[in-house]
Amino acid sequence: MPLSEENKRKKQAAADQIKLQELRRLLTGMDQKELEKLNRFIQNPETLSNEISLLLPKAVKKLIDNREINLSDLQPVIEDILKESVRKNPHTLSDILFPIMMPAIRKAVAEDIKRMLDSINTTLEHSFSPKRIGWRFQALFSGKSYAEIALSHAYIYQVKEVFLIHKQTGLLLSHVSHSGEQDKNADMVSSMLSAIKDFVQDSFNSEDDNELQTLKIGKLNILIEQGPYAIIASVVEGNVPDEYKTLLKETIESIHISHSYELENYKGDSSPFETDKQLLINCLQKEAKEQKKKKPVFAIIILLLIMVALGYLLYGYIDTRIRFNKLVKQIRNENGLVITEKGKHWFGKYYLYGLKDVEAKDPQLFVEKTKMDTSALIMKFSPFFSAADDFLLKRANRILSPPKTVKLKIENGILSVNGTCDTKWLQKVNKNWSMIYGINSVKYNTRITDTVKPELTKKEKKRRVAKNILAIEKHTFTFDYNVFELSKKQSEEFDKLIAEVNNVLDFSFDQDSVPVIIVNSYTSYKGNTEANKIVAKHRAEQFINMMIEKGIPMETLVPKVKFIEDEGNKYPIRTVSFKVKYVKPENL
Amino acid sequence: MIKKKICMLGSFAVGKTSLVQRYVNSIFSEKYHTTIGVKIDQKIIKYNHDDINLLLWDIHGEDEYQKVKPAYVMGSAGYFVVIDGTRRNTLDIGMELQKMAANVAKQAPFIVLLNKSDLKSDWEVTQNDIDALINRGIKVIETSAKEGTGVEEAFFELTKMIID
Repeated sequence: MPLSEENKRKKQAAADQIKLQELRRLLTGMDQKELEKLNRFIQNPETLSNEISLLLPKAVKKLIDNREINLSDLQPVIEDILKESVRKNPHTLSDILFPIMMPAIRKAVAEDIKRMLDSINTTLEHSFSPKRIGWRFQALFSGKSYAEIALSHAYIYQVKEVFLIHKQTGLLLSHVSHSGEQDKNADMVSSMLSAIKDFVQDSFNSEDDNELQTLKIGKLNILIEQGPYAIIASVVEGNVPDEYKTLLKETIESIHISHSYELENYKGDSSPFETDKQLLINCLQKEAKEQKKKKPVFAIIILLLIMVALGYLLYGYIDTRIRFNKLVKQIRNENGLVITEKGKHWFGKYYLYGLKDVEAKDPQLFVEKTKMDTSALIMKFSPFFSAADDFLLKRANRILSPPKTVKLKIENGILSVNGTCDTKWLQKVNKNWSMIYGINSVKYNTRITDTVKPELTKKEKKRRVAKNILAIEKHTFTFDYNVFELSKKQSEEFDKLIAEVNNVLDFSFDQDSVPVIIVNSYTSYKGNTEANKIVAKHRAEQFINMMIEKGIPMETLVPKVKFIEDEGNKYPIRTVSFKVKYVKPENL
Repeated sequence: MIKKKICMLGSFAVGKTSLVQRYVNSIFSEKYHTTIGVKIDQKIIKYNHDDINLLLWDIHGEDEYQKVKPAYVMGSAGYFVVIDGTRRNTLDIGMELQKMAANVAKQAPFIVLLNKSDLKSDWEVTQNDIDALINRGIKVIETSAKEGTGVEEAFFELTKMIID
């Protein structure tokens, strides 16, 4: 029986085993084989890690997608791991990063060199301008280096607009402008910028890391910083410093960090990016260097011209005034000239009105002497007789023509006649003194020197007169060019002429005729005939005036201009000669 | 506001720019101005009570000298393939462009526009050609930028295909 017991016990154990397996399957859902396989996984770390390595990335991605794990939660863990790795063996990490770092370093260095060149180019643009010279002086006096001054001036800029653009679609995610206004065309600008970027990159670059970074339109620079999903484009007027480009980089990075999901799955809804507006506003920078106001060159020139014109007018006004005062003073000091009214019309000419004695100097002489501008002066002098002794004496001498042996004197309106003279002259004085304005009476202190000459017969008188006529007609007065005054010799000859004329005029050959003296003034047709005629006429009149002054009656004198061709060159030009003619009184 | 990028593709002188101008500005010019590069226009339309801003990329016409850059089509929400009914070869070029666009903008719907319907008597594109396109499941709309026929409908239809 022990055998059957044994069999029975074995059967019971097998049945228990089946039951146990059934129970295990019911409890775990796995059969023995599966449990053994699981056990092998657990027991063998190699197999387990292989399996988990397949699952873990998917699990982490799923957790991130479901927002169960934030990237920021992982950040400290990864940072700690990296720190620990570097602490233990820095070479490991540097070996890992080497393929990435080197192109990055190359790119950074290349970018810095480009910026430096841009900066140098900007500086050189001002190399030979007045601005640069100004900077040189500024550097000299401020103690700063020239480069510092030049660079400080190069960085004046203002960011006008900032666009955040979805890289793939070119659609505008967000936009800010310095004016605060929302541009209706911003969407189109965004697309166009994107198209330009695509065109440039597609046309000129084959490498992925060569990206369009700057567009230049006149004074505007469009700076572009590209991220994997979005682009930031900043429209800047002027030259920005390097720091600004760094700011753009940081901004696009921040946007990628905060909106990586939205950017990757962008379907045209830009509302999530409204929250990034502040980041874009931070990019709206400007460096408001104290810009010196542009000097109003044009206004300064106009002002200078006005000042010069005013100065000229003022100078003219003062100069004319000084000359006018000088003229007034000189005329006042001159005897025979009396100023009755003087002044200046409002915004007009100076005026000078007065009286002029016939014997006084011409006021025009003073105008010439003071170089007064005649166009700025109105001057009128009316004739008058001065009661001054000098003028009375001059007048008396002219009218009375005293002989050399007589000296006239005026004192308090009394004419004193001193010296020796003949009766005939005294008779002339008696007859004419009352006609001299200003002389009230005559005081004679004279000695008569009349010689009783035997009365000449009419025949003798005729002969003497004929002799005098011949003598008169022999006198010729020849002048140099442009000379009108008589020389000393000519004056003496003129006195002789006067005496001869007086002798002739005292005698008439018959009752029906009277003598006249024709004063012939010769000239020629050469040159300006009219001018020659005027000059010749002037000479004839001059002689007539001189003869009138010597007491020859005016009605007996006849001026005549003769051209030498008329007379067959008997008299040279610029000559005055005389002819005596007897005419009937009614023909005078 | 939702924004959508729509591209106009087609051979040269098929009327892409005219269609955009008719749609956006309601104008048509007989003068032909070739498009160089890309011209961007926009039109805001209402769809299901929502405003949709359509950014229309009027891309230069393709010919043997000037190939359309795929980068322009990238990111398109939808596109039109414009064919000139009077020129049979524009159909072939249009379909080549569609192949390129389908590679770049994989999910983007498109409509074939048979333009110049006002000159239908001169058409080289036959009904068989049109039927062949329709049989391939391609949406085809006849348009005339000159008369405005089918233009509004085409843009609305593409918007509908994009949004739905």
